[in-house]
Amino acid sequence: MINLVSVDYLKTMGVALRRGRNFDESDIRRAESVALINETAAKLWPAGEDPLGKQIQLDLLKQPIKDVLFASNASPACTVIGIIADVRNDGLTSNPQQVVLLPYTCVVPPDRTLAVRASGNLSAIMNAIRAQSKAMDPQLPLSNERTIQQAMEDFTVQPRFTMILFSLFGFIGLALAAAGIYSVLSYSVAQRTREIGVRMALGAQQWDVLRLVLKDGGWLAVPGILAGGLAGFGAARVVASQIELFKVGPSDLISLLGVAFLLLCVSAAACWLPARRASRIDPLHALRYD
Amino acid sequence: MNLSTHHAQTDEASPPLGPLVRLRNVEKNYQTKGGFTYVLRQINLDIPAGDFLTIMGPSGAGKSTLLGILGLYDHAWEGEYELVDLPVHRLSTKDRAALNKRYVGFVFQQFHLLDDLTVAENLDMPLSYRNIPRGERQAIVADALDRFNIVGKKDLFPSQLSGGQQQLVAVARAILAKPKLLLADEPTGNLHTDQGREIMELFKKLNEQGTTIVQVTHNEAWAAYSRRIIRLKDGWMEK
Repeated sequence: MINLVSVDYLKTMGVALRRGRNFDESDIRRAESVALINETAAKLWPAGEDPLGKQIQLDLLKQPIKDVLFASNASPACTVIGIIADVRNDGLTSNPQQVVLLPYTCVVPPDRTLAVRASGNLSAIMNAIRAQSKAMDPQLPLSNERTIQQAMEDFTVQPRFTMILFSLFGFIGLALAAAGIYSVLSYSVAQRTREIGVRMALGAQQWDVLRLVLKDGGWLAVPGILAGGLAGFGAARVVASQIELFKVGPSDLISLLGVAFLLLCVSAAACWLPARRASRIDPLHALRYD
Repeated sequence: MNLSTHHAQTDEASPPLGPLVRLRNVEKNYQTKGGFTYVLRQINLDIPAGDFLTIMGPSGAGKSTLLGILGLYDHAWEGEYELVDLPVHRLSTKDRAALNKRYVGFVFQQFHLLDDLTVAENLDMPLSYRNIPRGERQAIVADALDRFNIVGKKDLFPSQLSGGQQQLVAVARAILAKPKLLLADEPTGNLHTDQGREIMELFKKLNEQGTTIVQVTHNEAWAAYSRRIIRLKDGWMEK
């Protein structure tokens, strides 16, 4: 991947210079045959060999391309003058590709991308950029104006939709699990009214009954959470490419524990109502109408 | 039945200064559309420690309701009730529950053993709610199984026992925690005559050994086992 850039490219895009030097105004003005490469490209050299000062051959500068102008002194051999940090340059999920940066004056393609780092009111900034562009060349149209956030969203819109869909299914699953636990426990409490009445008549306190029903709920929820956790651990690999965008790995312990904790809380809430109802059973009433 | 080694059922706490149970003007009513419907009216009753009292009366007279109040299960009543010199009428529901746990045992007409627990587990159940260490509970249960001659049935489930045997287990369960007051709501109501007699003999022995017993029965023959009888009619205690 070859990018044609200006002096302030690194500063504007927030890319760190690891070693060597950046382009200077002279390199740009004279369309010097110098290049910056990223860390991935630097790995092309054998271990222990320093790419700085070495020459690389770029076919782009060797063969004429239709509608593309080349600097008169353009040479396919460029000297590496600096190494820049790797950034995601091939989509958000792929590993960084090898990159070579050249002065933008070496080659003149039909269009350019103008990157501006600014803060403040977006409309005001865009107006200023348009005015500046028009002042330089009234015939030069600006198109495809986007903030970096909008550009990022273009990459994440599909995975985000998928995740929303997954979340919706997850929420429905969670609600069904809660309703299931609640129903089973409610039924169990209704079935065990006499037993609970006997226990309370023989000394069980409200807390004892709460604990009894919550324990039953625990027997439903905890194995379910463990089984679901294991299944989720496996299934996460299937959707790994989708969730990596959000900086979450398929084996992310915090996410798995967080989901388990959420399920535990929902299960506890589903258990709580039947348990509280059970703890308020009037023992004599329960036994009299057995 | 071998109760010869059975010690007094009362705990080591000092005996009450007054009667074990003292009721003054106890009343219970239900709010209905037509006003109040009284179930109990002006009940005044003293039950000294060591008494064996039978409550008799027709259905709907308030016998079981009075038993529920004595057992501290029923909290919606008016009047004064002292148990072991403690003013129950001034206690919170929680304190009443604690008092029940400490001083009261209850025998039901329908036995109310838990079907999915063995005899031994049924006996252990009330002890498990009394902060007694497991080892000590096992010893108490083993002692009760021995005293009531039901060692051989300890691993059986209630459905494998006769009605008399189930009630025997229920009585054993009620006295395991050594209550001062044993309440029995028609304990022989679901038993054959021979089984009923066996239970009444057991009650008599327990009473002779110090347990205060209050039973509800319709049967004059079973009432004759007690030291005294009170009769209720339409919520009033007959003089």
